Amino acid sequence: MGRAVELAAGVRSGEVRAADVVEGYLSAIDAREAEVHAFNLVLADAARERAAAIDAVVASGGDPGPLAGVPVALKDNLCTRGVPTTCSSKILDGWRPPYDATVVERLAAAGAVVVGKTNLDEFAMGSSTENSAFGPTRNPLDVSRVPGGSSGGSAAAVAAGFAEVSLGSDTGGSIRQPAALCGVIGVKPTYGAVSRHGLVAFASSLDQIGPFANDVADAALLLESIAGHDPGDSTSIPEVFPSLGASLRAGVEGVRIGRISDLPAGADADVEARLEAAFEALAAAGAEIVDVEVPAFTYGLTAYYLIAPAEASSNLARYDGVRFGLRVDAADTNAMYTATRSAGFGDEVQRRIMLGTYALSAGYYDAYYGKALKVRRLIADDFARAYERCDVMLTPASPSVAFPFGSKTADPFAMYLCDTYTIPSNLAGHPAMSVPFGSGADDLPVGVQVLAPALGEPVMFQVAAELERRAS
Amino acid sequence: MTSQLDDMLGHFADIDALDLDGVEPMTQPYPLVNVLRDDTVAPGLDRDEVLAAAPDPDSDRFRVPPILGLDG
Repeated sequence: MGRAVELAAGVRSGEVRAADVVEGYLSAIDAREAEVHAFNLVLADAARERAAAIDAVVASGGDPGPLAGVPVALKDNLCTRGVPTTCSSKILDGWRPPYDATVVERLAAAGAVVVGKTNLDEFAMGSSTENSAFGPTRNPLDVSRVPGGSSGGSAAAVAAGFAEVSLGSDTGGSIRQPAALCGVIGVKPTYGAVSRHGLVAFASSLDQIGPFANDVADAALLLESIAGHDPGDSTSIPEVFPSLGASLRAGVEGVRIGRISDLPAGADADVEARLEAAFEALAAAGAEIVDVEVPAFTYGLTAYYLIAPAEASSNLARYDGVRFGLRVDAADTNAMYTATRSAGFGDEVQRRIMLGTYALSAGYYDAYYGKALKVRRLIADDFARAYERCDVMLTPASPSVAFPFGSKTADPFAMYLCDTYTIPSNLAGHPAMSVPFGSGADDLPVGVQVLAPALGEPVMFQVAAELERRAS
Repeated sequence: MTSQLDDMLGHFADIDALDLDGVEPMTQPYPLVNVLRDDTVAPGLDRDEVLAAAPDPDSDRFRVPPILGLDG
């Protein structure tokens, strides 16, 4: 049973006070946040008020919900009404959204207590949080290293015990890679399973919100709490999201685990060794290991780094200094746009906007964006063929363990390679999750990625739960 | 930054080796359909709250610098 599951059970029964639970996590934040910098904003007073309200509900015989009193941290690209939401960008510094994201409403309805808004790479563009306008987050396991990104603050908050669970967003690996580097569970759900209403858009056909947790059971509980149809997101799947509870105890007897024989090279030897150990552990638990081919996997990186910037260049056009956020005044409106964007966007965001507009421009559309969309189809088709022969596939979540600050900042493409194994799931719209499975170099955690077909969360969690049992 | 972008486009040339003739472009994970809700009035955002977030609101509007420039 996960700690969040236990905490909620204790609070609902009245055995544990939400106020005491929250105070414990706020103390952890007091002790180490200055060193880790997981948060853009800590909401200590609001969390205390909320916990007291939950205790009052229990005292009056009510049920605050399945996440009663569970401290949760929110990536700072999730809109919170009246509470600053920055995307770690100067262009939104000080902006207070006039509404809550659907996931924020659902967490509140489930009784969770929000303790703060977490740091990220600006507009979720990056793999280390080094692109935050407010300074990087440090990996709580080794503060000389990055926590991964872009949801680095959400991963670090859970790893450091600042919150029991958190939410991030994953466009090309932004939940799974930091989860791997911080030694926690990170889940990117099926595209459309969780409403994106109120998630500040980066690349709309790829973005998906998902949970971080210390336990697979907690990740399942959090995902069940936020998933489900939302009329506020036109890409939200109308079907009822499957229940995950039974999967956690099912074991993997007879489950077919795909090993991708033509997986792109590039993972470090220590990571490869843990992946092998994961295959062996699942085989020992009764799973069948099946060799599969996904030839287009290797082209995912290129397709992604054309499609995601193209969508971003369109989405980020809304930051124009007119309706919200930063304005840098100038003599005419066009000059004001330029001055505002030059001052408000950091280097990586500017790079991606330029790359995206170039890939979409009339003369180059067919050569870049159009071609990338076709490669995306090849990847989806290759996955479909592979899933005729297996139920899930296993890959590394990240090619390496957590790396030192500054080691990839000089070469943007080296940073992009961090997403090699996570990107194809976003392009296909499939779920995938990172599960800690032992440690590699310098005793740092290694994450194994479990990939599943669309709405394959039950079998994905089934395998993840077995990996969790066998990792300890 | 120009040389970095140039370097990236060099890396992205790997897909030129693929035969993509006849492959249908994929813009979304699932086929998009037009999603319509019932034509009933629902509460929208609070206008004052929305305008309060603007850099230069003017009564019910957003004020911007001259569109055509001072010498236009």
